[in-house]
Amino acid sequence: MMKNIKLKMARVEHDLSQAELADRVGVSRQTIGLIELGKYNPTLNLCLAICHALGKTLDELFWQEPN
Amino acid sequence: MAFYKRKTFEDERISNMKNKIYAEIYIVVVVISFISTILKYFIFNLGPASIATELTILIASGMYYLYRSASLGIVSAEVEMHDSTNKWSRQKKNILSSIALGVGIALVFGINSAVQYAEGVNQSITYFLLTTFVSLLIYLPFFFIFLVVGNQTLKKKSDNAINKMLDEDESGDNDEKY
Repeated sequence: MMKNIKLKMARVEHDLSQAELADRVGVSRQTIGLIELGKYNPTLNLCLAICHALGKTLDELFWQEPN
Repeated sequence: MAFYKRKTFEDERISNMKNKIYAEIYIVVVVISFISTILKYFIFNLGPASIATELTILIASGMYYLYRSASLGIVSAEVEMHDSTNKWSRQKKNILSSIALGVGIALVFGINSAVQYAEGVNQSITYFLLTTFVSLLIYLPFFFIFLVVGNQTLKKKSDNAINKMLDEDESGDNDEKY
């Protein structure tokens, strides 16, 4: 899996640390860290929760062009 | 006819359902082992040797869960989530649990000793105090080491594991905002 730079950028735009975003979404800081590093593949529900917390769409945060 | 091989994905629904079944199987195994232990030891009085297999299953599976959850960094995340949503931290709860268990068992043994073996009120009080005190000396440190020190050790191992996973980011990114 690739790193999720878009998620990191959106988080920084909102001036949030991983812990603060995790708190808003209701998951652990480690989970957000691993998603940003591309080491954990989140479920659609978690993707949506992150999108809602950051005011972004799934496209904006998680879309990847087909290989 | 297609000459290329279609890229296949693992069907997540099947994997998730399988994992759910495995988790249910574990519960079934634990329940069967537990019932078997009760029947063999307490109902049929077959002695400790008869429940060795059941105890091995229960203890080994528990130990394996602890080891894996620590080495995958799950313990740290669970403690962090617990501490952020609860008034009392996990550490504080463990300390209180170890004290409650130590004192509880000491009192049970003390009362048992006074009721079963003493003759007269004075001897009952002496037996109760003596047995309770000795039991406290044994069980309080035992539960403290088992619950508090054990959990701290697991959390430390888990912290190291998850930090290693998160540190493998070559850009040097961490929990900082920028």
